[in-house]
Amino acid sequence: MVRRKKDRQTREDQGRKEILHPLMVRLWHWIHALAIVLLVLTGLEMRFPDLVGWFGSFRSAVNFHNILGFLVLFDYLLWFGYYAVTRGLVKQYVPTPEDFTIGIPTQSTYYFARIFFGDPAPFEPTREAKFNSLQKTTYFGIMFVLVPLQIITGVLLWDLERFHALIEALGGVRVIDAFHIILAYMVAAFLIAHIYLATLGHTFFSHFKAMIVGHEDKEAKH
Amino acid sequence: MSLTKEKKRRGSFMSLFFTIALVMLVPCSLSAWSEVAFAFENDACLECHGSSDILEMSGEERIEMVIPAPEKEEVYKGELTLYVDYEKFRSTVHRDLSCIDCHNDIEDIPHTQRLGMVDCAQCHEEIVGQYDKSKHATVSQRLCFECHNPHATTSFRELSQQERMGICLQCHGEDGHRWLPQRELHFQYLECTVCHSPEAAKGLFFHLTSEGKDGKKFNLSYRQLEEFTRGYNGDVAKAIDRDGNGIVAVHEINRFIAKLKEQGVPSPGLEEEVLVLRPYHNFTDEAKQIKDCTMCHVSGAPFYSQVMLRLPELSGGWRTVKMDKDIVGKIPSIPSKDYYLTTVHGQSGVECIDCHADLTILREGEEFQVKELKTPVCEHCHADVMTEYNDSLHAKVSDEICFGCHDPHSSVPFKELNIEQRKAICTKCHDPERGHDWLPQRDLHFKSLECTMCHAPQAEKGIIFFLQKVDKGERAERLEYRDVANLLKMEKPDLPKLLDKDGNGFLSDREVLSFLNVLKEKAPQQAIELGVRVLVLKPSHNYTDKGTTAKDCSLCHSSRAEFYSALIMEIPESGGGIRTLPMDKSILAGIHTIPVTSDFYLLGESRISKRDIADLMFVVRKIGYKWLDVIGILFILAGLGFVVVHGGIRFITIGLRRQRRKK
Repeated sequence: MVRRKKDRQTREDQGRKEILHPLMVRLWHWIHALAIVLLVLTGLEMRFPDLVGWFGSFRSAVNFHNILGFLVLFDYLLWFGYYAVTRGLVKQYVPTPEDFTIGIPTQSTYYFARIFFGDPAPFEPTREAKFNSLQKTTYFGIMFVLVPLQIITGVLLWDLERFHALIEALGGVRVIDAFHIILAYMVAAFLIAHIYLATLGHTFFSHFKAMIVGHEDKEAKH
Repeated sequence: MSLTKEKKRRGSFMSLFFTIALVMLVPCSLSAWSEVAFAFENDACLECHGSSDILEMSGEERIEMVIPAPEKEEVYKGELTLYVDYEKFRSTVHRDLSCIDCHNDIEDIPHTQRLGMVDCAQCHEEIVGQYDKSKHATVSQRLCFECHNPHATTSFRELSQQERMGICLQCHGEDGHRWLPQRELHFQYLECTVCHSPEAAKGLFFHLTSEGKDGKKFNLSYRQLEEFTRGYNGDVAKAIDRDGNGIVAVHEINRFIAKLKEQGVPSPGLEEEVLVLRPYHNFTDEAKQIKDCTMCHVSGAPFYSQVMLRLPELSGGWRTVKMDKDIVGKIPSIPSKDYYLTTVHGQSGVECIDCHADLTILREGEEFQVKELKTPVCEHCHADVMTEYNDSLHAKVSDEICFGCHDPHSSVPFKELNIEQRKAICTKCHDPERGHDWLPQRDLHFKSLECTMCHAPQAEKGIIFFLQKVDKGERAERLEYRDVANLLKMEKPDLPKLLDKDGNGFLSDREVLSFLNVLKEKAPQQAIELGVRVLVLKPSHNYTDKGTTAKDCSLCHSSRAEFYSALIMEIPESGGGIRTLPMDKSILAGIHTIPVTSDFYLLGESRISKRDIADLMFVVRKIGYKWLDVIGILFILAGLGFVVVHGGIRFITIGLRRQRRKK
C-alpha cells in the first residue's frame, strides 16, 4: 500500500506516467489471455478432432482443456476478488444510464467515423475509469455473463456424472454443450475484435505496451 | 191394254232400277265378299296349317284335304311348308302379310295339291337378282326358304352374330377353315358373310359387355341395363346419348361405362364385332377372295366407315345407334399391314417373324403357309422399356400390355409424334377431363404439354426451339425449310451451317440471335421469332398417377426444372426432316431479346416456393447440432469482417490523418 501510494505520487508528479493497469490486473489479464487462447485452441481440437491435432490425442486435449478451464476459474476469482477488495467492480464495469444515452453514441461515432479523420478520442482512460462506455458495456457482458456462464457450463461438462442431476435439470448435456460451444465461438470472435481494438491506441502498440508495463506513453504521440 | 202397257212400262222401269241397283251392288258386294274371303283365308289356312297335327297325318289323309293334281306326282313336304306356328309368325318380319300375298296361286279352299313356287322377288327383287348369279343358285340350286324360313324369320338387323352364322351352319361346317390364323378369334368376332360376301356393306359394331366369374365376356342384357335407364323412359340409347343428337360420342359411352362400374357391374367395357349391315346374296368361296386378309387388315377396311353401338331392347331384340368414329382410335385396333413398311418397325427392317417369335407353321400348301400367332414379344428389342414398364403402375394395376397403347404395326418414331399424337396414346383410355380439376390454367397445360411431362417423372425432358412466324392474329406457324429459304432469298441454304457459324456443333445464343436478325433484316414485314416448346425427349414407361409427384408444380415451374438441362434447336431440312443442334443455356438468360419471354414467364424461376421452404427445413433439420458451428463460424467471420473493414478504412485514411496532424 505504501509503495503504491508512492507510485501514484510519482506518477502524479510526472503527469504522464500514470499507472493505468496495476500489476495484479496485468498479471490476471495475461494469465487469462493465455488460458483463453489455449482453451480456444484445445476446444477447437475437441470440436474438430479430425481436423486439428495440436495437443496430441483427443484425451490429452480434453485434459489440457480441463486444466486451463480451472485456471480460468481461479483467475476469474482472482479478478473478482481484486476488484471486490478495491471496490472498483461497480465503478469500472457497470454501465450507467449516461453510458447508454451519451457515452455509447459518442464512442460509436468515434470508432466508426471520427477516428479515421484523426479526431482525438472522446474518452481518456484513467485509473479510476479505465473503460469508455462501449468497453464498459462489452466487458460487463463478458465478465458478468459470458465468462461466468462459460465457467459454469465448462465445470458441468468437466464431470458429467457428478453434476448429473443439475445437468438434467438444465435440459441435458446437449443444451449445456450447445451453450458452451456458442459462447466459445463468441469468445473467439471477441478475441479477434479485442486484439484489433487494442491497436486503436495513441500508437499501434500503445495499449499493448500499457498492458505490459502498466502505463501509456502519451507524449510519444503528441 | 193400257193397263197391260202400264204394267209393262212399270215392269221395265222396275227391271231397269233393279239392273242399275244390281250393277251398283255387285262391286260393293264383291269387295265385301273378298274382304270376308281374305279374313277367312288366313283363318282357313290356319285351320289346317296352324296345327302341328298336319305333320302327323299320312299322305293319304293329306291328299283328302286338297284337290289332287293328277298331272303331278304326290309330294310329301316337311314341316317347313305344311305347319306354320302362327304365334311365331306374328313376331316375324313378314307378320303383316297374309298367306295369299305370297302363295298367290290359291284361288279357293281346298286348294290344289301342288302350289307354285313362292316368288320372293315380288318383294325382294334386288336380293333375288344377286342370288340368281350366285353359286348357291347356279351350282347347288338352293332355294330361298332352305336358308330362311319365311314363317319364322326375324329382321336381319336383329339377328345376333351367332344367329347369322347359324343360317350358314345349317348346311356348312367349320371344317374348311383350318388355314385361317387365329381361327377362334375370327369366329368369335365375325359372321361368315364378312368374308364370304365381299360386296356386302359391313360395319364395326360395339356391344356393352361385362365379365363373368370365369373371366369370359358376355353382352349385357336389357334387364342388366334397365336400372341405368331410369329417367330415360327405359331407353338405353337415351341414357347413353345424353345430348340426344343420335350419335354416341366417346365421352358419352365412357361416362356410361364408368357409371356401370360404379354400380358394381363387373369389368364393364365395349367389345367389337364386324357385322354385315346389308347382306349381299352372292356368296363366294373363291380362295383368292376370301383368303385375302387385306380385305379387313388394312386401315381402309370398309367396316370402319360404319361404326355402331348395338343395344339390347326390352323385346329381346337389338337396337343400333350410330357411334362417333373416334371410338375406333380408342380401342385396340384390328391389326393392319398396309402401311407397316412406313412405320418405325417396318423401316427398321423388322420382319413379322422377329416379333411373332413363336410363329409356327401349321399347314402348308394351297399357295400359302398357315401360321399360328401368339402374343409377340416386344422385350426382344425393348428389354429396358419392358423392365421399366413392369415396375410401373400400368403393369401392376391394369392388364394392358404394350399393344394396349402402341400398335406395333403402325408405330411412328416417338420423336416424330407431335404433342396431340403423343397425348392420343394416353387418351385412348384416360379421359383428361377427369381428375385435373386441381390444375391451374388447365387448358393451357393441355395445349402445350404432353401427358408424360408430368406423369413420367423419370422421362428425359428438354426445351426445343424452332423458327416460327406469327401473324396479326397472334397465331404462330412453324417455318418449314422452304419458308426459311424464301425469307433468306436463297435457293438452297444450308441452315445448320448458317446458324452454327463456328461449326462446333453447338449453338450459342449469339449465333441464334444473329441468325434471327438476318431473317428480320431480309423480311422486315414478317414477325419471325423463336418458338419454344417443352417436350419429352426420351420417354420413361414408369408412369405415375395423381400422386404427389404429378401434382408438384415445381417439377417445371422452378429453375431446377429438368428440361433446362437440354436445350435443342430444331432446324428444318430440305427433305422435310428435322436436324437438331444442342443450344447454349444462355439463350434463356438472354431471352429478353427474343419475343418468347412470355412463354417463360410462367416458369417463375426465382420465386420461392413451398417446396423450397420444405427443402430448406429439410436441410435445417439435417444439419442439426452442426448449427452451433455454423453460427459460431458466422460470429468469427463477423469479428474478422469487422477487423478487415475497420482496418481497411484505417489504412486508407492514414494520409488524411497525417495531413491533419501536420496542420
